[in-house]
Amino acid sequence: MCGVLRFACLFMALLLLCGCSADKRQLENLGFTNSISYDLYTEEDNEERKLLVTTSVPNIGTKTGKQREVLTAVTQSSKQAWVKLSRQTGRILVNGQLRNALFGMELAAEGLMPHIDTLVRDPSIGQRVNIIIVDGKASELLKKDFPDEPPTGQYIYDLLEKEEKHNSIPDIAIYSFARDLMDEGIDPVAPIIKMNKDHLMIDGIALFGDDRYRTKVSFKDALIFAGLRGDLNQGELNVDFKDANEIESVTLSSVIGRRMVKVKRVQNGEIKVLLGLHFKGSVLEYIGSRELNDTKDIAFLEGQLSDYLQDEAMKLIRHMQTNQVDSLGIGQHVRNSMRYKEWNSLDWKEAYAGADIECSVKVTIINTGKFQ
Amino acid sequence: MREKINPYHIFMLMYMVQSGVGLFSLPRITAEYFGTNGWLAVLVVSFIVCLNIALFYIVYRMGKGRSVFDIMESSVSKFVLFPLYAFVIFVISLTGCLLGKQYILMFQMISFQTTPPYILKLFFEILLYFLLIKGIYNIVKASTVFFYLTSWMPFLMLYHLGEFEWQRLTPFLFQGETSMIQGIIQIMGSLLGYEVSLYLIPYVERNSPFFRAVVLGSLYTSLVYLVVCIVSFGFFGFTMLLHLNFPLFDLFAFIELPFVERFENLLFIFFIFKVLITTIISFWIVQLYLGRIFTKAHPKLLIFMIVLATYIVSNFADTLTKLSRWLHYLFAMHISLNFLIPIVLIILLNIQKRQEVT
Repeated sequence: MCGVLRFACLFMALLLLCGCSADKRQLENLGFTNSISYDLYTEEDNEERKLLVTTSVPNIGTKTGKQREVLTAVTQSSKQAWVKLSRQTGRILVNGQLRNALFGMELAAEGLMPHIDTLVRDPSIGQRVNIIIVDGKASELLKKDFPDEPPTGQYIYDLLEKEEKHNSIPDIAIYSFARDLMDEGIDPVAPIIKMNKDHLMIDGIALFGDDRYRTKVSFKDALIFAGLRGDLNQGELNVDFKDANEIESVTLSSVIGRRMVKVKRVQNGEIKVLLGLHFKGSVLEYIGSRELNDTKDIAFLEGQLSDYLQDEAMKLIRHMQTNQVDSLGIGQHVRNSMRYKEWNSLDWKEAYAGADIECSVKVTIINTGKFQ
Repeated sequence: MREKINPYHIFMLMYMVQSGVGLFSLPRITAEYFGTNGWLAVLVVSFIVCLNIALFYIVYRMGKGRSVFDIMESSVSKFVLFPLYAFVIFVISLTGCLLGKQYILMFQMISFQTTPPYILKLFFEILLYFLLIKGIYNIVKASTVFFYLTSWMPFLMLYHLGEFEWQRLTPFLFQGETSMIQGIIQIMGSLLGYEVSLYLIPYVERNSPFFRAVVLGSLYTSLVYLVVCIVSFGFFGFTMLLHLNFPLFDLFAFIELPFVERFENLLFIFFIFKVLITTIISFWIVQLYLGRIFTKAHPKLLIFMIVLATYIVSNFADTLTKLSRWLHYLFAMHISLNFLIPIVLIILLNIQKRQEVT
């Protein structure tokens, strides 16, 4: 009994010692950074390029009346900015709840690697922070309040999470971005958002060559891009085509897509890549002259959809080749078809631009809804 | 009659002793030292460990259940043995305590950035001391409880299957910059602890499937290591893996449940059970050796001295880089001892057998 008592006393004494630690965190004294933005900053009378960092900290349990606090600093690096930002608030800034990292387009074109490195290195920052490119200045977007929506940081997060689930934008976690940035044979991508009067909207997908923004895919092609990049589990496709000089429109819902990549070596040793896409979905909206209960008409629609999607897919592939961005990860498949030495001696960036890449698309209409 | 340890408990003890904080960096180590598809090296090292266990088994069969110390001391003078004992004590105690320190330094990096590690280590030492004084039977029982507390953790890898892609593994075998001998030392270092089976011989029932449990326990650890490494290669890809200090921690950081996020800190805390058992078993072996040198010393005093001495030494390893360097040398010495001791014992047993015949 005496031993137990002694042990209990010792344990309590050690527990009290924990209070001496500088790492104690009192919730009401913390400022949980929700979003952070990075932009290039050039002063008018000085050509030196600096970093404009803005952060949004939700006000929880404070009596300021405002939903969030926005802090801004101009420095050389993001960690230096963190010190400056901390000096502007009475709360201790912590980034354990960071959800969005926004980058201005101009900065993205200069290269994101130093900032991604800082975010990935910090153990307090999660793997699921969203990497987002802003059409314009990221700081201005983050500072703006949208009266009909939740606080801006949360609004961005909700908007992107929803779109990601519907495959309108690719996986946007920092982990995916960093992985594709470092891996050979694939380039990273990120969603682009922009301000639209009183709302935000997804503007497309930014395609990177290494860590630099090169070009983009428009939002209307986002699902085809997602299908080209990998398997799809959900999505919606709207297709307009001409039938007997009349514009017809089909909406393919609950789209499931499967991608297959084949790499062949043709006679002179050149690489030929065949991308096969198979989309399956339900037609829940059709405006046109065909009958949806007629198998011949269904086959016709499948053919029209396949042709349209194949053309669009090929346009996207050529666009990416012209800009030398391997956002589809074709290089990974080419690498895996070669010997190690052969791959190492190949300048894939160079070879990619001129590679013979073909795409074939097959569409299957699973059903046409509950109405004959 | 003295209580004997059941092979069922041995299986779990082997897993708890072998698996530890080394698993956090193992996928990077396999990539760094073995290049592409380095995860295959886990199979190679697992085979080497099985060979080492086979040597222990020969000692067990030839020695007919006698302890390591009885075999050695019946043929060799204590004056010759004591320097060897001192070296074994040095290597095993330091390896055990530094593995504990590695956990503490990682814990500091993740959760308590400005808390001095010696305070955190003190808590660890207290837990260690109170379990160690209870003796091997209670340690084994505690390890069984700890096994069940942590047995669900390998299944967390299922969470990553959605992001896993075989094409990231590449078809290349051990390509890129490699350093295989160093790599084998590192991977074997994270599988160390199986040597406890040699010292448990007097504590198990003769003719029980003791060594089958040892081998199965070791193979289970290797299987868990293999799964973690394959998932890491298919999840991060080879190049990113080279940049991650603790890939398993990043795998944990990816897990998000509807009711809790930033789950990784909680998961990391569960590893204290594994590290605790690893260090405790090392210290228990050291206690056996010290008991042979200081035959009249009270066991509790010996344990206190081990814990205190290693606690003081561990404070000199104050950075993760320094600690990794120290551990690398210790692993090399530890592995050498793991092969050297059973070989010496087999030679001695052969000599004793011949003497008996003549």
